[in-house]
Amino acid sequence: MLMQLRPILASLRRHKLTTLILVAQVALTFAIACNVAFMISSRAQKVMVQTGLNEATLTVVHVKDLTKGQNIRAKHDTDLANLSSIHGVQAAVAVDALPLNAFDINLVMCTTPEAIGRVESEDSYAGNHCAATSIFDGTQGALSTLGLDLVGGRDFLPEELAEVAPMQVLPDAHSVILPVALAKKMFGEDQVLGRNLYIGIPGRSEPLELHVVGLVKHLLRPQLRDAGTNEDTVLISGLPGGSAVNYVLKSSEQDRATIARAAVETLLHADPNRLIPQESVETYTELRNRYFQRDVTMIKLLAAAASALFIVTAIGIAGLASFWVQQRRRSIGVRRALGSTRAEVLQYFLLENGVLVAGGVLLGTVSAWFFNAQLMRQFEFGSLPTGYYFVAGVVMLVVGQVAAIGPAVRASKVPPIVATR
Amino acid sequence: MLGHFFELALRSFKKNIVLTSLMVVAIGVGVGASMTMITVLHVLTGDPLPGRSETLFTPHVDPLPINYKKDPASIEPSDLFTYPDAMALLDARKADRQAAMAGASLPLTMERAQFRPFTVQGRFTTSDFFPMFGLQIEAGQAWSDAEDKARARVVVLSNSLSRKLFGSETPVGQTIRLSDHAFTVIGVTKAWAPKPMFYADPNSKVFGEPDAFFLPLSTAIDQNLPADASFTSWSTDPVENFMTDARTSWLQFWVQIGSAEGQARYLEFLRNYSSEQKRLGRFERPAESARLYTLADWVQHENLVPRDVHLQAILAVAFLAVCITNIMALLLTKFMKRTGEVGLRRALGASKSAIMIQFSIEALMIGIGGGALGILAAEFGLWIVRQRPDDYAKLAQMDIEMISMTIVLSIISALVAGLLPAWRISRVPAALQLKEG
Repeated sequence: MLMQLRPILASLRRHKLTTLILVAQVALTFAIACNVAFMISSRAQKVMVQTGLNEATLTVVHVKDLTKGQNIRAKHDTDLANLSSIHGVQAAVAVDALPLNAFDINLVMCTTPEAIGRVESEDSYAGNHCAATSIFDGTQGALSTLGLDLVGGRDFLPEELAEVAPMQVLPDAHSVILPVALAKKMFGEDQVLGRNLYIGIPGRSEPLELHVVGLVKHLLRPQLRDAGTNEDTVLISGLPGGSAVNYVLKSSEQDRATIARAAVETLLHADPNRLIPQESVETYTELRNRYFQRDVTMIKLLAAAASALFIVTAIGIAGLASFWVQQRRRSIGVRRALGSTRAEVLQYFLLENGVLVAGGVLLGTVSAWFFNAQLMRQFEFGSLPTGYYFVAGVVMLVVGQVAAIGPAVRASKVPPIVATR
Repeated sequence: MLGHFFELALRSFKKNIVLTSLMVVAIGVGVGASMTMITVLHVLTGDPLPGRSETLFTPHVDPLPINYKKDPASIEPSDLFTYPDAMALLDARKADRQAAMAGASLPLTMERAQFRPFTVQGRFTTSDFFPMFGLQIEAGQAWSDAEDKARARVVVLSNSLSRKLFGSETPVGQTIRLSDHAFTVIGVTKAWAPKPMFYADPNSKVFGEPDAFFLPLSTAIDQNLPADASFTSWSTDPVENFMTDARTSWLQFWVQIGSAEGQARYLEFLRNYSSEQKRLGRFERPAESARLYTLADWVQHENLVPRDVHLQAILAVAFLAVCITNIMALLLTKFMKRTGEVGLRRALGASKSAIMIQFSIEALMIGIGGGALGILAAEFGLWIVRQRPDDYAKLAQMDIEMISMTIVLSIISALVAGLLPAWRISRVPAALQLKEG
């Protein structure tokens, strides 16, 4: 087979311009495809992140009370009792924040009270066992209703749940449950349950001391930040305290739509002086989709662009291959007359295509790297992993072979008699 | 002569319909995809207030302590104003017009049976807001400085909110309740919706719904109405009221200045203000950190146009480049098939340039066909974009400018693609080809 390379290279040298254009096109396609594939996969990774919730069972209703001076705790209790009596609702809780609902209270949390001051002056969380932590709260049973996976310790006891004092951001709570990832960050491999954590609160001189009572597998932030920090979260033993709150209902997956409608009716029936905007009554799946909606748009667009690119390039390769076959009909005839088999002719054209595309991929590797460097400079874009070059290269070769197969088969069918014309 | 070339081109198309259509489709799809993204970018980067933008600026002073730790994940606090700084700049009246403002999202109720409360988005601001940004009043009037000072409980509505609440009744003089406080409607604005809402909090939806109401900032503070703003406090002491705190930023401040000297004077004023505050011990950073952003600089500084859109536009242009190389290869193939014909024409006396023109015209015609298809493809692409729920998506519309640009782009693409092949074919020697043929 390698014997054939020499005549191929010789013939390509004779069609320098065409060869060059085709190689350039393959290179450009390859360079773009590599980067697009990388963009798609990094966004897909982001979109597929685990929240830690049992998402398919949850419905969320956001309610804002307009009547001032109510007893918020009593109000939540009444509402939750009403909501629990809706047919199909297995459990109901009130929470302020949920993963991906963008309601993010973010405070510095450390393993010692002194470290909080150090973080603030040194501008670094690393080395101090500290993290900018998102705080979750909830009424009794939040852990099990949300479907958080308790892997160590226990849920909060009813008597632990504390209310938020007026003008305060957080309840004076003393127990927290952490996701495993944050526990590792804070305490390494050490025992976590029973340890203390400290949270700095603006406008308060003393940090709040917290006692770790439980560990959950995952719990994602309400609003994503840098990679590797998105499970810097705690569930605190506090009750939601604002006039706006999210009621979360647990039910079977198919009941969710009817339950959402019934919940709005129930809540407005109990107290008409409240706001329940239509767009904030949704299944958790909808909430999640809304959060990632821009990324999903981008993924679809990028995938469409990449497929269109391959199609256009395949058209170019096929067009050129068919021209070359037509041009060389007589030479093919001569080869056939001299004893070449059909398979050999077919192989020749496929190999020629392979050489061309491989040249393009080689040149494209340099362009892809350059393109990636530009994107890294202008956008938040990572360095292209080597695997992408290989995969895109193989895809490119396959596309080339598929595009060339038609003309190559036609070439193999040229009868030896053509040589005599 | 040219007419003849067009005729020749048409004949050549007919001879090879498949290849020709492939090229037209390739240009059409390439240009269509590019124009879809370029149109989105064009719409989003358009002038929010044509004829006025050049005179609008937002000042920047930096009240942050020297050792303040900035959080790269959130907004730079000094890009927002503290209430005392905004009031100082407002009272100084050093610009032609000036206004402080903040967004708000308030529950609206009315003392009317069967009225379902709903949330409206609007703005707390000061009286110059209306003349400075060119809002026209449809009925009644906007408020004046006197009402600002008196913390009057007045509100100006957008005409769409007014129609929603009052239908054909006169809204002026009526009462609405916002966040459970009564306000008298004193005016209604004509439709006004700058895109992006450059004057809003950079963290808010700047391509979202336009403001539905406006009420005096002083009143909002007086009544303690909640603002929908990126409050950032660097206070180390307990804060009584974040809205008026000297170490909490949350407001926007815009000025209108007509002349270049005026701008220079205003910058000078900002620096003097900063050094004075530094002398008083309120500011710690150098007076040179004060600056005056033009509207365009501000939009860029705050990345108000989504980064994804830029990325998409780059991608679309790269895609077009692949399409162009593709057509180049196809055209070369197509032209080289006709070396015999060209050899004959050359032997009969056609000059190299005549051959080149002839083949360029063929490429040009492919470009025109591709352009027509490109418009359709781009309209289809924009339709898909409009189906997306993103706040800017529904703005994606082609105007005449973009349609003509589509045609021009595809003709240029076809000519660029055709240049090399046309040059190559014009080099075909006469005699040799005759012998071979």
